[in-house]
Amino acid sequence: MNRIPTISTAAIAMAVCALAPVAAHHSHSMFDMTKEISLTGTVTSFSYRNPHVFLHVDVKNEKGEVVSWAVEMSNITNMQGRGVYLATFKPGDTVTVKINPLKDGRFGGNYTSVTAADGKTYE
Amino acid sequence: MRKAGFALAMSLSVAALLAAQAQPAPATLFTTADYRQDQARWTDPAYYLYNTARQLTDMQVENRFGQKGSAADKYQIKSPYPFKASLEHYEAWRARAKGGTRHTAATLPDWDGLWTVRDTWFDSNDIQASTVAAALTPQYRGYYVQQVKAEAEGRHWWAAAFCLPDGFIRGVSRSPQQFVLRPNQIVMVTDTLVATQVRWVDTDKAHRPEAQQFPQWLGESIGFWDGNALVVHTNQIRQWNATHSLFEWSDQMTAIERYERVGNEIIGEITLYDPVAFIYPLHARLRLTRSNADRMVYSTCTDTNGPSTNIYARPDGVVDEKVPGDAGYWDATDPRPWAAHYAIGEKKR
Repeated sequence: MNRIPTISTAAIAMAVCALAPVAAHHSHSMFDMTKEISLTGTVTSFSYRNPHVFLHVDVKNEKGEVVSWAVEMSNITNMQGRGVYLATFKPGDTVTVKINPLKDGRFGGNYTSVTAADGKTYE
Repeated sequence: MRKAGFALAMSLSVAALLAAQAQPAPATLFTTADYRQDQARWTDPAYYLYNTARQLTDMQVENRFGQKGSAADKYQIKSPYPFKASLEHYEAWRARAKGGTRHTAATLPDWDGLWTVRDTWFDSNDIQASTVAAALTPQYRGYYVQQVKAEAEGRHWWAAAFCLPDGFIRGVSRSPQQFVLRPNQIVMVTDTLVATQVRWVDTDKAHRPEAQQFPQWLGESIGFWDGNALVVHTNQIRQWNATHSLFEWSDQMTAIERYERVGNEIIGEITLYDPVAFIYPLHARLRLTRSNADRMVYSTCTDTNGPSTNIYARPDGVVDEKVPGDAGYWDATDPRPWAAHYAIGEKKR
């Protein structure tokens, strides 16, 4: 895993948007809700637990280096309401996630949508 | 002469305009140099720019710091009842119910299923921060303004973020809720999504003797049935904070709740007594409707936070979280976290 602080993957697209916050057990002040980036990569693990579900995705940056991203989702009850179950993502799946990234540039963010290996998108 | 008078009038008008312009705009929560000096304005909705409690909490996340709020203020939070203390309230209602209704398993009402709490100001929506502030004693009003200023600036302190219990107020207002009715006891279960909270309401006994009482996260509850309505008295509630730009309470807070099934809803209400924190008893309605949740999930904060390590407060007071690779990161996907602990000891040996 490479943790260089440059976020320059070929798959990143920046967009400015205004999003309503989702129910959370902790503050979302650490996320930049004015930005949305898109990442395409490989699922390494899927932590299906309360208070927040996490999807871990390895993404290649433009230098070909693998960067591991922590994608924070909502709680189990909310995710089930959106059709996301433990079986939805498996290690090795190729997924595209859209996130509000951490403000300080570390490789994490709050998800806004995920497109699974079967092409289905969950918001 | 007429010209001179006109010129004088103009001069006075300009002077008045300049004087008005020279007057600094009154400080707001967002512009004040020291909120502690603004006590006279803490109950003025303009001080918060007419933001609701929830709008203050979400201000940073929604990128609208210091902007005007909706001015929504739809709740009456002062208790409509004449009682000065919760036990007086409880005993009056019990006397009205002629001591209470004795139910058997066969006669208990049907409250089966999962319920969602709605239409209450305990969710911080549609209530002005000034309305909350006005209900609090000077000491707790100061605590409150400190809290809402921090929330507006993104310095949130939510108990659950640090794997601490949500406490009594969020326990009665989060969803889903489940009621297990037995002749001598009601079990109230709430999945707050960071913890599964359980309250036991005994309907066949009094509170424990005063010498044995102690503050508890969800207090100690007793109750009686008034026909098919459940009345609950709770004391020994531990001092805590409802967060989300609501209020703090003291160890003196006690509560009266009343719940009754009406059609396909449970209509509830709660009255809070706290002579230390509140100027007058507070009141909230709790309308419970059928939950969409299929079943309860046992929840613990530590499932993904670890033992309060992944969420932390930075030196500037803003809450942050650790991601893989950060020092001290808790790996929630490790199926045997104790193995790493054992390995540390083995390595030392």
